[in-house]
Amino acid sequence: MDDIVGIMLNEKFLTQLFKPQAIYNKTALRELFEDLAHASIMRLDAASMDKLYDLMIMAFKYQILMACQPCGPILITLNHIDAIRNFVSTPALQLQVDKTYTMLMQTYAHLTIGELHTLRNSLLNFLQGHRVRVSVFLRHKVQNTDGTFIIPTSGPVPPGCELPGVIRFFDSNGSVCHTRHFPAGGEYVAACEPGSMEMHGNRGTDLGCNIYKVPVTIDTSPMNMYNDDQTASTTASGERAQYQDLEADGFRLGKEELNLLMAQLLGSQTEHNQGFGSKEVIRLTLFGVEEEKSCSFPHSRNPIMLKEESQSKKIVHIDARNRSSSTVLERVYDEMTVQREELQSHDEEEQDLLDLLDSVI
Amino acid sequence: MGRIGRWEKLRGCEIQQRFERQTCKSIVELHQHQVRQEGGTNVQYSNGERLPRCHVPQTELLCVCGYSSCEVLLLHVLSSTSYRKTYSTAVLTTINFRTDIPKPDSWECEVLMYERNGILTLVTSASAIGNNLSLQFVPEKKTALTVAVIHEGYINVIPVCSSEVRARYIPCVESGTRPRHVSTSVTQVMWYSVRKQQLFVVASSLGLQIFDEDGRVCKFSHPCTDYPDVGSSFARGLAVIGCDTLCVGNSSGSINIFHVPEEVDEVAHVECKRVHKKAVTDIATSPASNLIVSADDSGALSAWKMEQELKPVYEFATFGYPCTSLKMWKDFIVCAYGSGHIRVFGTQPWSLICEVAAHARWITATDMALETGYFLSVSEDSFAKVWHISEEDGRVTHKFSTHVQDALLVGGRFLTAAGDKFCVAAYDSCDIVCYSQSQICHTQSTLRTHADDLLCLQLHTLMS
Repeated sequence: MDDIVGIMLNEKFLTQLFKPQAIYNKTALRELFEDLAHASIMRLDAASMDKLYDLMIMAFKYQILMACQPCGPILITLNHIDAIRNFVSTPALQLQVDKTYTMLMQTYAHLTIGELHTLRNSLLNFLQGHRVRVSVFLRHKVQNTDGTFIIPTSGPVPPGCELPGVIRFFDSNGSVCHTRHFPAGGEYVAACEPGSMEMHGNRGTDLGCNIYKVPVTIDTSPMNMYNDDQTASTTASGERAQYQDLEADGFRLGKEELNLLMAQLLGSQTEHNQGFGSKEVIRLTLFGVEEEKSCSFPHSRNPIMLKEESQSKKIVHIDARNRSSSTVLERVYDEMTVQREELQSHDEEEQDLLDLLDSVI
Repeated sequence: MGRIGRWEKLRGCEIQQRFERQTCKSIVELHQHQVRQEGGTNVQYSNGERLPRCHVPQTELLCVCGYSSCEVLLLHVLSSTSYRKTYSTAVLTTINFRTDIPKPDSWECEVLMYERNGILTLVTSASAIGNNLSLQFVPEKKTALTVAVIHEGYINVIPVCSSEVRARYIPCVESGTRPRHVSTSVTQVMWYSVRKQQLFVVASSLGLQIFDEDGRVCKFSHPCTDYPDVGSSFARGLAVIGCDTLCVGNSSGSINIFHVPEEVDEVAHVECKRVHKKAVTDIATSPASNLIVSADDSGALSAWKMEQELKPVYEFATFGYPCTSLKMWKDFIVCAYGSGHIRVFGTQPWSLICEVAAHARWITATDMALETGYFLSVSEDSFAKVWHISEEDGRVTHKFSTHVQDALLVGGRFLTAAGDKFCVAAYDSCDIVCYSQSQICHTQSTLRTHADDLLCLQLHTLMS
C-alpha cells in the first residue's frame, strides 16, 4: 500500500497533475491507472485489469453523479485522501498526503459554485457512455440492470437550497405578501450541514468512502449456516460479520455460485478428512481488502503462507485476486490430502519489488 | 406488502405513492366507461380509446383503475419483476367509493395535464451541459422541425416528426480542419432566422461559429475571447435582438455583439463589453423592446439597453447560487437557479415579484411558451415541471410535474409556441422524451379530483 501511495502522491507527479490542463483522454488515464496498479507487487492480467478499471470508473461515476452539493467533488476527493492517510504508515508518506491536501485546497477551494458545477459537468461528460454493471451497486439498489444509476427522489437537498413546494409573492417593498404551496413530488428533507473541508473533519457524505463497507445483515444461506452451526463457540459474532462483509465481487460471482463453491469445497474436504474439515471456517477474500486494512496477515501475497499460518486457526483462505481460483482450489485440495510443500521463492518476489522501486526513483 | 406512506400527488392521471423502503407508482385513470383489458401492455377502454400507458419501470405495484359512475375498478396489483407477465391476469378487486369525503384544499388543482407520447432517439447521448436542447422551428408554423442536442464536441440534429428532414451529426471543429479527435466542448447551439434564411449558431470553446442551416458550411467564426493568449476560454449564452444583431457571452464575463447582414459572409463584430465578473451563463432578449438581460456564474443579473451601444439599465443582486437559465416574456424576466429556485423579476418597475422553490437540485434548462405564458423547468432531480406565469402581475402557478425515471435532465423545450407539447433530454441517455397535453383531463376535472382523493383513501385501506 505504501508503495502505491508513495508513487501516486509523488511530488513531481502531483505538480504535473495540478497544472491547469484539459481533461485527460481515456487512453492516457487507462495507462496511468495500469502503471499505478503495477507500482505495487500486485500483478493483474489483462482481464482483471479491465475489471478493476471498470470498477474504478463506475465507482467514480456514481460518486460524481450523486454529488448534489456544489463542493461535492472536492468532498469526495477529501474522503479519498482521508482513506489514503489511514492506509499509510510512515511519517514521510503522511507528510506527502498532507501536502496533497494543501495543493488540492489551493486549487479548488476558492472556486465559485458555478465553476464547481462546470467542473462536475466536465467530469460527467468524461465518464459519459461508461455503463458497466457493478454487482455491489446492483445489490445496494443504486444501479439499474442496464448500467445506469438510480437517481433518488428523496434525501436531503443541497446546502443553500430549500425544499421544493413553496411559491412566495413579494410586494413592492420587497417583503413576502403571500405564500402558496404546491405538490412538489419526491420526498426530500431539509439540507444538512455542508461537509467540512478542513484537513480533518466530517465530510458530510459517504461518497468516496469504501463501497464494500456495508451494514451487515445476517442471512441464512447455507454458507453462513455452516458458520452458525459449527463455529459459534470459536468465532465471535463480530468476526462472523466480517466474513459476510468480505463478499466482494470483482468477478461478479453471485451468492449462489459462492454457496455452490463452498458446498463443493466443504464436501470434498469432509470426504478426505472425515469430519475434520467440517470444523473449518470458510473465509473468502477477494481483492485482499481485509488484509490490507487489518494488517493481521502481513504475508497475504503468498497464498501458501497464509494457509500455513491459518491452519492452526482452522481457517481456509482463498485468495481469488489472481483469478486462478481453480488452481488455488486445487492447491487447497492437494494440501488437504498429500500436504505438498511447495513454497514460492521469496527472494524472487522481493527482488521484483526492489526493481520496481528503483525504476520509480 | 408495504404500507402506503403518503400520497404525493392526489390529482391527475398519474398518482405517485411511496411505500416504506421501495418507491412505487400507480397509475389511476378514471373514465366514464368501463375499463376493458386487451392483454399485453396495452389497456383499452371498451369504447376503443387507449388508456394512457405511463411508463412503469422499477415499480413495485401497478394499479390501473377505471370507473363507471361511482365504482372504481382496481385491475392489477403486481410486482415489478413480473408485471408484464401478470398484466393479463384477472381483475383483482373492485372497490366502491363514497362521494362524501372532503378533498384537501391546500393544494392547487392541476388542470393542465401532459402525458408521455413518444421518444426521439439521438445518435449519441446528451452531455451534461446546461440548456442542452435547442429547436429549429418551421417558419410561420410555430412548431418544431428539428431538435439539436450536444454530445461533447458533436451536435446531434434529429427531426421531430417529419420524415423529410434527415438526421445529422455535426462535429464542431475549426473551419477547414479535420482533426481525428474532436476536443472542442460545445456550450450552446441555436437556430437563428434572419430574412427568410435560417442559420445555425454554435457557441463553444472555439468561440462563435455561424453555419448554414444544415450545419455543413461554416460561414463565420470569431474566437470571442478577451485575452487571446489565455487558454481554456469559451463562449456561452446566445441571443438575438432585433432581426440582425447577435449577442454572445463568454467565459470572462463579456458580451460580444455581432451584426448579421443579409449576406452572411459579411458578419461584423460590432462591440465587446465587459458586463460581468464571472462567466456568462445565459442571455435573454425581449422580442418587443431592445432590452438584453445577462446572467453569470456568480448569480448576478444585469439588464442592458441596445441603442447605438450597450447601455446599463439595472443590476440585480445575487442570491448565492448561479443563474443557469434565463427567459424574457412581456415585462418579466424569469430566472432559474442552481439552487432549484425560479424567480420572476419585473422590468416595470425593476423588482422581484415571485420566488418559487421549484426543484430539489440544479435547474438545468427552462423554456417559455410565448403565446400562452407557460414556463417549463427541468432539473437534475429528474423532474420536469410546467408553470404558468400571469400576464398581468407575473405571478407563478404550478401546472404540471412529471418524474422521468433516473434521468439527470439537462435540456427541455416546448415543441410549440402554445406550450402544449414539450420534450426533455437527459445526461448519458440517447432518448428525448416527448410529452403532449392530454385531452381527457379538461373534462370533468372536478369529479376526477374528487374521485382521485377517494380512490387514494380506498387504496390506502386496501393495501395496509
